[in-house]
Amino acid sequence: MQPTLNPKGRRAGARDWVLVEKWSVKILHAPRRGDVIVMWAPDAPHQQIVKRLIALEGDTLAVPHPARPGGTVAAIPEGRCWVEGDNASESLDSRSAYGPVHMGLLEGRVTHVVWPPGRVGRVASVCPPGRILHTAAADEAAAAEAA
Amino acid sequence: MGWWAAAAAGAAAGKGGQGTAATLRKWTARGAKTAAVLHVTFNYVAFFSQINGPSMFPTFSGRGWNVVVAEALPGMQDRVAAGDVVICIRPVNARENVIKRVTAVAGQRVTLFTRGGGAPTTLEVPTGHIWLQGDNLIMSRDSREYGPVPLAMVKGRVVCQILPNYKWVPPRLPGQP
Repeated sequence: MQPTLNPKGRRAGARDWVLVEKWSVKILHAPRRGDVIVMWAPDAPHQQIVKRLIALEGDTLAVPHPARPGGTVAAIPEGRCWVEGDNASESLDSRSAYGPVHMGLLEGRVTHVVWPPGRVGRVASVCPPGRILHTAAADEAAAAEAA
Repeated sequence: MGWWAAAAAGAAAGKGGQGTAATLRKWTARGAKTAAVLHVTFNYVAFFSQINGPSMFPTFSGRGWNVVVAEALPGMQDRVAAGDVVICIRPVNARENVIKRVTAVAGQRVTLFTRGGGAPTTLEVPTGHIWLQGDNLIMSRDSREYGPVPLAMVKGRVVCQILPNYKWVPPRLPGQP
């Protein structure tokens, strides 16, 4: 998640400690695109990972691809979402390893950095521009208008 | 004397001797303690679950009262084995849970027969995942539809049924008696 979290690397002492809010994910089940989230790694039931939520179920998104200049397009199936690390080249995420991941793996939303003291502050929700091509909500609205 | 009797006695004493604020404080503390104990029990020890729907017939009827006891598996999801009945977050909707039988664990191979007589496909269950199926194969939406499920989504393993009748729920693989 560099440069958003752990900007000085993963050495002990340089790592960030964050505050994780579970209410919006585990109770309301309403995570938003752009949030930094904590989730269980799909391939390791004992490991939690921190990623940015890019797309939700029903979305169609553009995925950059190293071999293809235009990238590829992914549709997110029911009950899944798309997560990516901010440090694209070194992140194991939906783009490089997992594909769309289950929403049930999400544990919470990272709201603040609480340690070290120099880095205390809010963690912003940022949607990378131009990635979402359609959303299910927009498609439904268009269908309602047509009908 | 149980805790409820002590609580009732405390309330009576509060009415007589102490002010409203003290009584309120005492009851808030008791409520918080009770909630904490229940939270720990249901999330880390065992919990009850009501089954609706026919997907686990004939193991569970899915009609009327069908209550099972499941042991919670905090951080021990990788102890589930093929044949166990588990309660798991529904892969297509994280707000709901499903009850299914584990028919294969990571590393085992699964053969899928497609409707309409197409060629069967074989796949290996990936690391950290399990394959779930209902006992009622013709009325169950399970891994045949949504694929392997990550172990982190398993909430607990079903131990026994308590309503409408008491019975153990032993591990069993399809085709076994």
